[in-house]
Amino acid sequence: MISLLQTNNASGLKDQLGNLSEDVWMLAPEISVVITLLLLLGFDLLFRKNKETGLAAIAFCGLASTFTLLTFQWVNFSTDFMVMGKLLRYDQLSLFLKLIFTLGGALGLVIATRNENRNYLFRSGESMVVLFGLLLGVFLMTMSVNLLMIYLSVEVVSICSYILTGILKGKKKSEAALKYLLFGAVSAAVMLYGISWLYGFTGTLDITSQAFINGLSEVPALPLAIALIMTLGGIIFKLGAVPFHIWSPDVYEAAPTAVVSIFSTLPKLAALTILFRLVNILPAEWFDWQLILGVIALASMIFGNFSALWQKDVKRMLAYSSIAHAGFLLVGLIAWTEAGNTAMLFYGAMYLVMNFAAFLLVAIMEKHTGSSTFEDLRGFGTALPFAGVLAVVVMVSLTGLPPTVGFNAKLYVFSAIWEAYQVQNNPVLLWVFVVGLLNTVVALFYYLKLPYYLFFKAGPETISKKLSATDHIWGTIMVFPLLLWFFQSEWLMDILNSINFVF
Amino acid sequence: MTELNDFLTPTAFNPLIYWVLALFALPLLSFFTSGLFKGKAPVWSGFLLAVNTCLSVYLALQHWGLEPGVVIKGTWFETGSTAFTYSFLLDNPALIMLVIVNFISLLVHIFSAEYMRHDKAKPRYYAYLGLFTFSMLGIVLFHNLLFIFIFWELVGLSSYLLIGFWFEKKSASLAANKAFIMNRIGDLGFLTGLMILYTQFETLDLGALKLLMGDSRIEDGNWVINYLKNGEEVIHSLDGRWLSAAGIALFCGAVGKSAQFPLQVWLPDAMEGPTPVSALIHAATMVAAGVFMLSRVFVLLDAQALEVVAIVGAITALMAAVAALSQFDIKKVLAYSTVSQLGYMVLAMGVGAYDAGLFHLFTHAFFKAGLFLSAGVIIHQLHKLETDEVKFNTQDMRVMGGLRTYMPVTFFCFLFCSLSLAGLPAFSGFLSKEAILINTHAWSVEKGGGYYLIELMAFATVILTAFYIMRAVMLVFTGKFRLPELKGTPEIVGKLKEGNMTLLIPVVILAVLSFSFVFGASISAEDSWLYQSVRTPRDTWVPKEYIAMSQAEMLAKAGTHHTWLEVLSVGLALAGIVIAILIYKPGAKLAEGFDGKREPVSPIVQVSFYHWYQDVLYTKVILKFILTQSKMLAWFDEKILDGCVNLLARTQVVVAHLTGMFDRYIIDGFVHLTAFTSGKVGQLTRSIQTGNVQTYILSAIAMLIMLLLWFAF
Repeated sequence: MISLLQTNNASGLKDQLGNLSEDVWMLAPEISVVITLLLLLGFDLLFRKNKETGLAAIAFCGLASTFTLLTFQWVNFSTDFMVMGKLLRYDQLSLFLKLIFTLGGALGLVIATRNENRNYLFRSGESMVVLFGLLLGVFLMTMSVNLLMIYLSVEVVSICSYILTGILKGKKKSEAALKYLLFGAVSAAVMLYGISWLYGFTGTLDITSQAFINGLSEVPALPLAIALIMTLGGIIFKLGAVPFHIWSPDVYEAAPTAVVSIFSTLPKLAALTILFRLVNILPAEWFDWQLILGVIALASMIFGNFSALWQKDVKRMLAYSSIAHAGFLLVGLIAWTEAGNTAMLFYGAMYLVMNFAAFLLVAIMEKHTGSSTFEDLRGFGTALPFAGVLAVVVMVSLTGLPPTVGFNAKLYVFSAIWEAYQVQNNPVLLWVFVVGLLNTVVALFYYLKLPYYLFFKAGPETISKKLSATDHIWGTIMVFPLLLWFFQSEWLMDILNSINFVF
Repeated sequence: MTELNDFLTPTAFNPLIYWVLALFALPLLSFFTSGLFKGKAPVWSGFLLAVNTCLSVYLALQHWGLEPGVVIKGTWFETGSTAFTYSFLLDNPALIMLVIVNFISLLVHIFSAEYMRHDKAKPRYYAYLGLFTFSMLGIVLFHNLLFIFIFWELVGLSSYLLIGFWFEKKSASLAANKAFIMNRIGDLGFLTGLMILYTQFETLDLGALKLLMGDSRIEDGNWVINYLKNGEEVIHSLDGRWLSAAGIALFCGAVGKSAQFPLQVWLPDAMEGPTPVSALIHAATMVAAGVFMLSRVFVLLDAQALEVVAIVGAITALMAAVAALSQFDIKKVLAYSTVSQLGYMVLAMGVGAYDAGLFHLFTHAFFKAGLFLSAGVIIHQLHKLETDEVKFNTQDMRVMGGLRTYMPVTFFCFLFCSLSLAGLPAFSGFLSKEAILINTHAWSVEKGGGYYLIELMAFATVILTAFYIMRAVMLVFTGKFRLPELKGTPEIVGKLKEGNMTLLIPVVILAVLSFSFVFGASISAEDSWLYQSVRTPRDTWVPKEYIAMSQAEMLAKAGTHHTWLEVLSVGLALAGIVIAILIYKPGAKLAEGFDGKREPVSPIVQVSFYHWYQDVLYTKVILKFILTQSKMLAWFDEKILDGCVNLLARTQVVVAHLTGMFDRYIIDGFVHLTAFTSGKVGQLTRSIQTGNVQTYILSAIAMLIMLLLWFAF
């Protein structure tokens, strides 16, 4: 608030408050999330027993109202706006992401209900409150255009994540949470240090302001690179890309499946948005984004894919695969074209859907076999063919093969980078293109390992052969779009093409 | 020059289309839903059909007498620049057929409610009836040969299903197969006709075909047409003989469906189906579809084709009439009679008497359906006499006799319909048969020479018809009931009763409709309102070199008033009746010994009984020839072709082994190497993951610094 007041010295406090009340409408979805959070908190305090139904109802109602508000804003969107004294930016990109985040949140809750130990999320209000805190954090991340706001929103997400990782008792979980916290603290420190350099160069925290750009233009290359790369540290930590990726496997393995499904998608895409905004502000002549991001993307793909080959646990395998996917997400950004941006968003949205589908199936498998290691999943597909086939579809989609939407996503991303290469002739793009494609082949090995274990390895007879009707329905709802959108990807592309990326 | 697409432009929206669609929808609904109603299927289907009948009557009244009828045309689909259209034509013949099909179908629904009461598969039966009615309406209403063909095939299918309704009976399923195959042979011709017309005119819309046929001309013996298609000129030229060929090919379709020589053998066998079905399909409607189709393409037929039509019609009429003389099975008599009467209709079309042909179609539909349903009543009532001990053939006239005492209403209905069939004045059959005979005479006079033979055959058929139907009447209804004696169970007599009202009402209605006053209180067909409503098309569209002489001209030449013709035909009919009465009256020699009669031995009677040995010819000669051929082909296929294939397969296996070895040692070796390398890289990359958080942070920072250094220098 102080910085806010400082930036707007000219107008009086009254005008300030007047402006803020106008901004309230722009922030209606966030306010809805906050209200839900408070309701959850209040409900948790008022009632002592059997809170599950009430909590779930409040949570789903909150998500529904948020979704409605977002849809309303999307439909009535007219022009971009700077909100809350230029701390946040209200535009189509953030609206679209918030929409899919809300969906993602709902799907995460659905996955939680599919778990046998379902009350880990619903038993007490705490975890639910923290989950909504995380949601608020990612919402703010998509909108932040002020370095301070960026830092704050990243920290909101991070702190919520630490709590969610360790909220269940257990040595392994506490250990993972602690590691996560320590690692996160370091990356936050690195980021904050980078931000302080940038503030020192420019004297402003508003990255959209002319002063920020003018200030940076006068900085020599080396200090600028140090400052920017360190600032990137915190964002890359949220994105889960090399070199700040090391936390993911431990955390993914330890945290509850539903929470992991949210970790692996929402913060990643939000971090990508911040990266996107940063990258678009600085002209390419001053700082070679393509090179630095290209190296990060390549390293993430190689690191994620090759390490995933050796994993014995499906969740850990998916953790490494999420590192690789962070690399693929960056590919669209590296292309530095309108088509690249659209492809990146398409990939992001599809990655979200695929990942939730994958974790839903993991949750179902865990429920039936009590474990998520490949060894324990032997013969699962033979016992439960429907779930097995769904798993195959999701794995094929994650690999990026037809007839699933994963193929379209990879196709758009790689065709965008190829077109960009033909125009810009930057060898980094060619490297990203070639290595990215080769990595897809590597990915095939570990993704198809799951179907191999599900169908071709004989399993114990003890697997329950009964799949509940609700599992059937949710499985179909989450997996069917992967096939449908393969044929009808224009539906989503039309929406994405309507997004105006200029800013 | 004419633009093809002008003929095919869709008509403006006409609300009539909803009525038409409703007409289709109700029987189709009956087809789909009868199964759901189980025991109530007759009520439900009957209700739907009653509504449909009301609809068709309303439509007929609304659009009666509009010349040249209401056309609804639309685009079905387009491929490239070619549009496939559909069109409906509601003119007088279509409207009359509409009412007849629906009305007789309704009567058959009602009749079947009693006739099929104890059949378990009743819902299936009603579903098939619905499908049949639906398909038949398609033939009647569509005015595009492609659609007519589609529904033509659907009619064939439903006929197949209904003939084989009691498929557990071997004979029934064989009869169904026979009907289906014979019809396919005819349809092959029909399809050929469609292809010829499409090659020449690029459309199958009948309205467009007529106009295009009018534009076509004969140049140096070639049949030439030029028109614009999408603004570009198109010229099609075929040898002139293709024009005749097209007409004859289309007629082939009618030969199959309307049971004409040489494909008529399926119809007598089709009597294996339930009797009400025979009344509906194999007497009144489906078999008439061939004649109706001929009337639709009438203006496209040239002199040559019409001559073939006339000759085939006459031959069929005479052959079948002869065959009907000596049958034992009452339904066989009626079946041959139907074939014979269809021959008349086709003959009428052939001699250019479009109106007479259609008129006979309409009158025949009523009295023949009446005859079949009367026979159905008898069969049904006799069937009730059957017990576990006493089994007999309920359709065999040898077990009947004297039924007039037990079933008076049925007797009178059967008698009236028979007299109508025989062609006595005051009955509808007289009017239409008279019209046909007059036209045939005019045609023979015009052609002269050997063509008088056709007229002779037509007249011979008159006396034969009167004879065989009167023979049936005498054998069934007069004398004494022969069954009790044959089976030695005299107590059975008392059990025979008249059919109930559900059976009798349809029969009585049809009997009333076989009186001529319904169609006009005159002894001349000319004065009948129905006859007047279906005028022969005055304009002919075939190029003038190929055109046949028009009906009006022929009649004018031969003179229209032929009292002697009428006297002759009535005299012949009376003669036939009197002879039949004399031979088969109670106490006469043939009537007395009838119950013991077996298959005839005299070669002349055998010709009649075995229908000119046509079936024998088919099975012993044609079928045998085909089977021998197919055996030879099977041998060729097994030994020579399969031998080649096997050799090829062996070669392939050898090659496969070689490539397999290449694959295993060279390609797989490469793959294993790659996999090994990937694995090593993976082990390297995950080696950071020690689980020690200090190492994590250290390595992350180290990498960040490395990145920075690399970027900076």
